[in-house]
Amino acid sequence: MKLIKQAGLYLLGAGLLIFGNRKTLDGILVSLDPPEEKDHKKFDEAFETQKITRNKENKLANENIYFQTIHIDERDINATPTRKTSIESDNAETASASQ
Amino acid sequence: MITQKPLPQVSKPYKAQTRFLFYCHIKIKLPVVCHDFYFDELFAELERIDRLYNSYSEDSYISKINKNAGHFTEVDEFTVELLKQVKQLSGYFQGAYDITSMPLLKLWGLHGNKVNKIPSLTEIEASQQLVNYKNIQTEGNRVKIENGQEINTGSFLKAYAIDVVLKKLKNDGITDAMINAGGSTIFGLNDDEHPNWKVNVPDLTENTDLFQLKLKNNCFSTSARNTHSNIIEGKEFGHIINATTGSPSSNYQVGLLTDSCFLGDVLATGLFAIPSNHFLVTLHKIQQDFKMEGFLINEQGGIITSENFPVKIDRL
Repeated sequence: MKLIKQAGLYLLGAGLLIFGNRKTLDGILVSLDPPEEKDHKKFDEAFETQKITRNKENKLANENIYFQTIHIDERDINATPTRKTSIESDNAETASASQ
Repeated sequence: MITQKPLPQVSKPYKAQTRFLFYCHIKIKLPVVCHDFYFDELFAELERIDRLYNSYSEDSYISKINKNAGHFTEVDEFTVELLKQVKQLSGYFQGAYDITSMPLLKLWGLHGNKVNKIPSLTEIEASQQLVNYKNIQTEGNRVKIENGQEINTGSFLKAYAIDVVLKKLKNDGITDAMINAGGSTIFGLNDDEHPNWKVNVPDLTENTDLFQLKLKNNCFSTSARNTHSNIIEGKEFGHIINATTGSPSSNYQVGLLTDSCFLGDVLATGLFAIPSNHFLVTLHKIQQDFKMEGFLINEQGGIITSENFPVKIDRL
């Protein structure tokens, strides 16, 4: 009886180990049915890759000229106030004299 | 004692934007479905009118007329129509309301200048020589004022601009909106779903609540002396001139309900300018031509209301 109990617990533990861990289960499923390998090389050909390296001053630099930022104007983006829209109810307005 | 029926509670969200134009804060409330860019369109219209027609705008048509006093000045049709309408409404007040009162405003220190002495009768009479709206001449698209005269758009242009915006709102299919121009011009645009906008009306001299009004596709205009009072030789004067007497009106407050903001602002200023004992007679005369109701608070704090003013006030 004791042996049966031990065997039962052992099987339960093994079951939980395999099926209770999603990673393990996914690993078993993948190994049973391996997916087709994607052709990464073909995919990368559609894009241009650029290499960013550190220059002598140890700053990141891109040799491709069209990636360089060109300042054509100096502008304070905070100078133009944004128009604030608020959400209100139909609360009563108050009359006054502004003239 | 003030008696009125309790107002129903309505809660519906609106988008609101406030911008500073015509020397006051103008708030526009629109249904939440309106895009924020729509506010830009509406305020652009107000800015355009401010730039082109305000006597305080450097290059406006009115400024050009003022600078070219004594000669005819080429203007657009809008300017001609605007001046024609103001002249027509001025006729109700026998000269008390006059858009060429600038010499009197300067004499009483009401044009950003400071005066330390109450003007003498001689000085008042000399200034009055230059005040007469009937001297504004129009020939086609040309306008001329007399030498030394100056047109002041302060009492009507803002309201005219609000009417233009309201026309745009209606043309664009907006049926529920509110425009509050500095508290002195408040228009409520309503539909069946939202039948009223509310306006709290205070006694501006005593800074106490008077009553609450319901607007329904109409305007409430206020003329009062609270924020612009002028103290000379220890005596307090208002900022609205009665051009007939050449002195500031002694009234405290006028409130009018009208169908158009322009009408409301011009008539509120005119009814404020005249003596309080002429208020009801003049108002009845105007009511023969226009739908309007209103009240006046005189120098003694007494309140006079028109017969069908929606709030009954018992304070004499």
